Amino acid sequence: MTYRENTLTAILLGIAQGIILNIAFVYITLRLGFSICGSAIAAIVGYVILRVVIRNGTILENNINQTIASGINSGGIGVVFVLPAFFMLEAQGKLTFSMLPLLIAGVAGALLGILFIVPLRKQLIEIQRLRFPTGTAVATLIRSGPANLDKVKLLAIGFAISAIWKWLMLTGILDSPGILEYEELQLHLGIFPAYLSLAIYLSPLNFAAGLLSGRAGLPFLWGGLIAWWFISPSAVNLGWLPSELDTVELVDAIYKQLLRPLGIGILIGAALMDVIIHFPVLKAALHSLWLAHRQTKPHPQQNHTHPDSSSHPQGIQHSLASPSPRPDELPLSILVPGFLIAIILLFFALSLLPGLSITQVLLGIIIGITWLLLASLVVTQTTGLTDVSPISGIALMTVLLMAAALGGHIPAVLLVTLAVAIAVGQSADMMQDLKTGFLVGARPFFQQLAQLATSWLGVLIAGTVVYLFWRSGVNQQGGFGEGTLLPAPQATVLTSIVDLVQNNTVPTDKLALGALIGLLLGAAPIAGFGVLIGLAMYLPFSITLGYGLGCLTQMWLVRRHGLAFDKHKIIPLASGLIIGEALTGVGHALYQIFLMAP
Amino acid sequence: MRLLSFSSLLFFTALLVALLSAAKPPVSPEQWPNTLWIYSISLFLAIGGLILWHLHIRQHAKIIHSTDQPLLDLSDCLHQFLSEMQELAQELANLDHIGILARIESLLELHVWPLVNQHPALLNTLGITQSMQFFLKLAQCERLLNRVTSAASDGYLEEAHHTYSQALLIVEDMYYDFSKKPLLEKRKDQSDFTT
Repeated sequence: MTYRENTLTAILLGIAQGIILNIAFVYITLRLGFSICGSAIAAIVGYVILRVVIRNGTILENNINQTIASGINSGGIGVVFVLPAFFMLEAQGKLTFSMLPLLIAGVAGALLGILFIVPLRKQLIEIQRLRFPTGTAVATLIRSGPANLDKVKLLAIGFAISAIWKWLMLTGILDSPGILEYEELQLHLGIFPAYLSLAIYLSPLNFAAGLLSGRAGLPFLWGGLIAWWFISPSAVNLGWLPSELDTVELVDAIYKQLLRPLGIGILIGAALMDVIIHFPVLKAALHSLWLAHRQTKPHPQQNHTHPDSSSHPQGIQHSLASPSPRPDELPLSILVPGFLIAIILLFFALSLLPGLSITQVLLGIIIGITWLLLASLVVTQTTGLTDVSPISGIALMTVLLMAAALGGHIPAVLLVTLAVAIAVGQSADMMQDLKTGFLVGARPFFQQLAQLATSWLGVLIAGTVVYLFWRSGVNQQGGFGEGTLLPAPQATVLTSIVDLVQNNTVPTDKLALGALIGLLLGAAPIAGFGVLIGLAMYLPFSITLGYGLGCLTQMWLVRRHGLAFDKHKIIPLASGLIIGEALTGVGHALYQIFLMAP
Repeated sequence: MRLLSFSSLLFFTALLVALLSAAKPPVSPEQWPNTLWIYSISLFLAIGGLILWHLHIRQHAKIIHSTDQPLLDLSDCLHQFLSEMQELAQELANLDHIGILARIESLLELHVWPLVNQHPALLNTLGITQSMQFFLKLAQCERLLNRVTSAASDGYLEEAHHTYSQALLIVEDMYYDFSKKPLLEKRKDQSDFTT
């Protein structure tokens, strides 16, 4: 009986779920400004349909289902971040555009994001062992069953605690002005100055991500402490900020003018150094792909059985003395042509834009793709380490770089930004799913192929949905944006970034100086150090503190109860916490949209 | 140890100063903060600290290499791992899915995860290329053992047995490649395999 893995049922279920999640999350993101990874929802629905309704479904089929569903869904996240900005800027008379080049660029971005990150699976998952908290949680979920009842109980307890807590937070029942607001517990106690940003984000998901990371995530906490307990008070006491600012404005200025741009710079520098340091691994990964490519050709010595197979007991027969003829990863014969097709698509998309010379198109391709690859690595690493994607920082850098390269041709700048936003989403999602796959023993090849073959659907669906929403407004435009039911907050942020670039007020000094520091931090002999420090400076301290407490708690528990305690108790509980908050968040978002809409 | 303390202290202190000087907003119409000279000096000091830090790690790795202690440990670890894998291979056909899950869990807990936790130590002793090959094989074995668990949970015992045999082959490879087994013996085994 062949073990069911890449079956038609799993593929169709994944595509159906992906389309539904994509449409729902495009709407949620336009309305609320945030999106949620669809893996957990897809895995739960998959569990019910494959294992309860159909009954013969397997863990690996569910893994394929959630890979496809989340791949299609995450294609939409990149679209909804950038595409609405085109419509809003066109309405303001700042540009004109047509949909075709954007959709082509989006598909190219989706392909590039996957094709680039596939050869890095071994480095990120098998060598660096990044945790990918959501990927780990989904693996725990889809492996749950009667055989591991203890873990299922912990998963359920975590889910219940997290769901109830999130619900309490969302209803605001526990809110108290100045103490507990917007899910943040203020710890100033009226004693400490506001610029120390003493607050903790009361998110079980955030705490659980720290629990899953343990010691490896600790530099994230150090980064937050450096940012808010060293740089922030020093900047205030040295008089670097205008004295007329009130408390809220002061904290805002420290965060947005000093720490955030420095953090983005550090992130990029550290990721660049990571590429340099791990070059031997990258080389080995490409070499193994090359070897696998050569071994797929007929060879006289192939197909011999393991000579020692006779010594193995009944039921255990070796069939793999030579490497398996079935590839474990996407082979070069798919990766290279796929990469070329994606580049041609991007070239074609840029060529369709009016007013762009061939030199600008080529420059856009070279700089855009180089940056896209680095950005994909940055976002995949931060997702692997903390579950956070610094997508707005990446968008800022993309707009900045491309504006410099393309001489301020805004449609071209935003087109490349669209491709990059989609690519980074696909990279992070692909690696998150491959982590799940690793933990359930799936063949990476099937997952990679499944996501590559279907993720472009997410771009086209999300593009169509955004277009329809825009046309649903008065005079067939203005269906979203400020003053409507769908404020599209992320696209609004992007239009303000475009304004910053056009007015030449981007803090290039912070980005450049931060990048040099990032290079050094990335070269320190501590895994993930630079990326975590950069991300901590980029995010509010309340998130860093909650995550750091999770890391410290895990370290304390492991020291007290041993490493096995982490695998058997902490991981299932933390997985429940992550899934509970994610699903309650989705439920609340849908409730807000459908029941509380004016 | 003194060098480690000094180098890391120099690195972190210099970087903190660099970070602080980078944070200063430039005074209009300047593009760069007037603390740029402090930033530059501290960055150079940080580079010095970083070089010393890496030198210390390299020296430390050489000392470990000369004593051969960790390789001996790795050899023992792999021997125990292989023995237990072979023992389970004998019993696998008689185990139901609950039994398989328990034994695989135990293998992961006693042999695979402790080796994964030895990453920094093995990186220092084996070097980048060798340690990378070791951890890639270990990860491949772990993934296959995870697959055994999934297949057994789903009731596909034949798949579990087949996948287990693949994992066993990888552990055998690791044992030959990374233990201190004499090269002659290894060659003899390999020639046995090919005849």
